[in-house]
Amino acid sequence: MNGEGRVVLQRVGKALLVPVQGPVTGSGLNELRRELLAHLEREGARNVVFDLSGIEVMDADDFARLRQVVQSASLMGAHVMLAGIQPGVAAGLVLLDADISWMRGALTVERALKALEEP
Amino acid sequence: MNVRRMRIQATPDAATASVVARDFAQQAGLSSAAAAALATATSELTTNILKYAGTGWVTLRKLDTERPGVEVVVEDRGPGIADVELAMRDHVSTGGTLGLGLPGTKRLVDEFEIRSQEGAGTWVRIAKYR
Repeated sequence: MNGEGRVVLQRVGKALLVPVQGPVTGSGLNELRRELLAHLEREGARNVVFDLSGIEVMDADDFARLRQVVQSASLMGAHVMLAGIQPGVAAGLVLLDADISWMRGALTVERALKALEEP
Repeated sequence: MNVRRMRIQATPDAATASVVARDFAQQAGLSSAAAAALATATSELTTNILKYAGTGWVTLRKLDTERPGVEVVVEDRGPGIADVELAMRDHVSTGGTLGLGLPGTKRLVDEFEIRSQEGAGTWVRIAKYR
């Protein structure tokens, strides 16, 4: 289950797309954070969209770990949105009483990119 | 296969249990949102094992009852919960920042039973139906 491949960050215009593949466990996210922060340092702050459409299950701890990655990027000046959270995951996180105050969500990557471009 | 019993001793085990829970739920005809809820609840409970007990077991079972569903039993011989009633209240944290997450886990499923004895371990049964 833990055979996550290399993290592939994709540039979309001036924005950066971060595909997050499940399961959202420690080692995969650590690598993702390393890659993302190194990229931000190299390329400068930009709009960043996390694509979570491939995540089918996310518990409260997974979500808290994801928050740490997002907030690390925010500290480096990135404007981050989460896109494509599946209905079951969204409903589950709310039932788990997870803190969602730190994040901005969008239905799709396209909408997130557009929202980040608006002033 | 209608029953699967797995040892939980590392993070990948918890992830596998949660995937099996989702697969069983889908095979039993639950909606994908309901299947995700059961998988999330399973992940919460097996993660508690890793955090508080170290090792434990999870047993997943498809229920061919009149109303098909899936049952998940999560058990360990860890430290147990001193005050179950307290742990079932919202916003009570005993360990990490999020606590045991039991009230939230209960909200995710149709049935939730817990037995725990301090020093002896914890047993939780959850079930979700079509």
